[in-house]
Amino acid sequence: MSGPNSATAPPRGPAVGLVLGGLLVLAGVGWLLDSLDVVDLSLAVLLAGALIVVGLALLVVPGAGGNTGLIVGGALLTLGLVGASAFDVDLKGGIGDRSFRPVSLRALQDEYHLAVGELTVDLSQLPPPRGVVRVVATVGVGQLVIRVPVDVEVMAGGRVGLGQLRLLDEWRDGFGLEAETVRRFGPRRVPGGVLHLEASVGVGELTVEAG
Amino acid sequence: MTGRDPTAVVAGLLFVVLGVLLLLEAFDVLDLRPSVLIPALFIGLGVAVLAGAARRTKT
Repeated sequence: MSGPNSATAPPRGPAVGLVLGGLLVLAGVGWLLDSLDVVDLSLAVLLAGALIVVGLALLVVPGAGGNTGLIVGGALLTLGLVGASAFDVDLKGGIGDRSFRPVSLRALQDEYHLAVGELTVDLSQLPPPRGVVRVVATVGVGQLVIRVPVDVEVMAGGRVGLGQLRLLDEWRDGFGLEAETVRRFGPRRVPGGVLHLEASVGVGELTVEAG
Repeated sequence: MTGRDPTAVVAGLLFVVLGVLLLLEAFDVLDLRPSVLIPALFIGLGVAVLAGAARRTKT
């Protein structure tokens, strides 16, 4: 890669290759350990780890400072992470589209998380609970849809950092959205049986609707 | 640090410090408020830009 300025340009070294390789190894090891259930890693942890690697490369690797790409990459990672923190984006769970449709209380999970994408939790076929059943669902960036049965008492709390919030009869858009609602339904309702939902989306759309 | 680009040094330090803070937040060790985090980020970026400008002035 010798050019007209190669005689005067400072030696840059294989900084980008080292950093990219390091990041790929870091991401691969993290992903593998997460898949094997050795550790529970979130996207936020991986991105923060990547930011540390980029910072260390700028400090330690000779010639890395001359590479604007590393500084720009680090700045983009910083903006993403600070934005996620500012809008309370929960980056737990994976990436993509996920759908869950438990038909019994035994199959119901306590928590459902997705970092980026569309998460649907269809509780419409769930039998009326006895006592309070609490379910937490979060999406970092994307869409979260929760369908509740039409014949149970529902206490729902929703939070959206930036986007749209549709909580049964309530609808809002903007940023820093929060809402709570209680709805009592139909004839199969068991006295004292309550489905207690806590749902949040960092950036995107949250919908809780009767299924 | 002789011969090192001061912008890269400041940016590197900023990325490492922010990365550690955000990692601690991800593990629920720290609760970072945007009202603290965003001004701190502006200060760090400002120092990096100033360091680069100072170097250019010297040369």
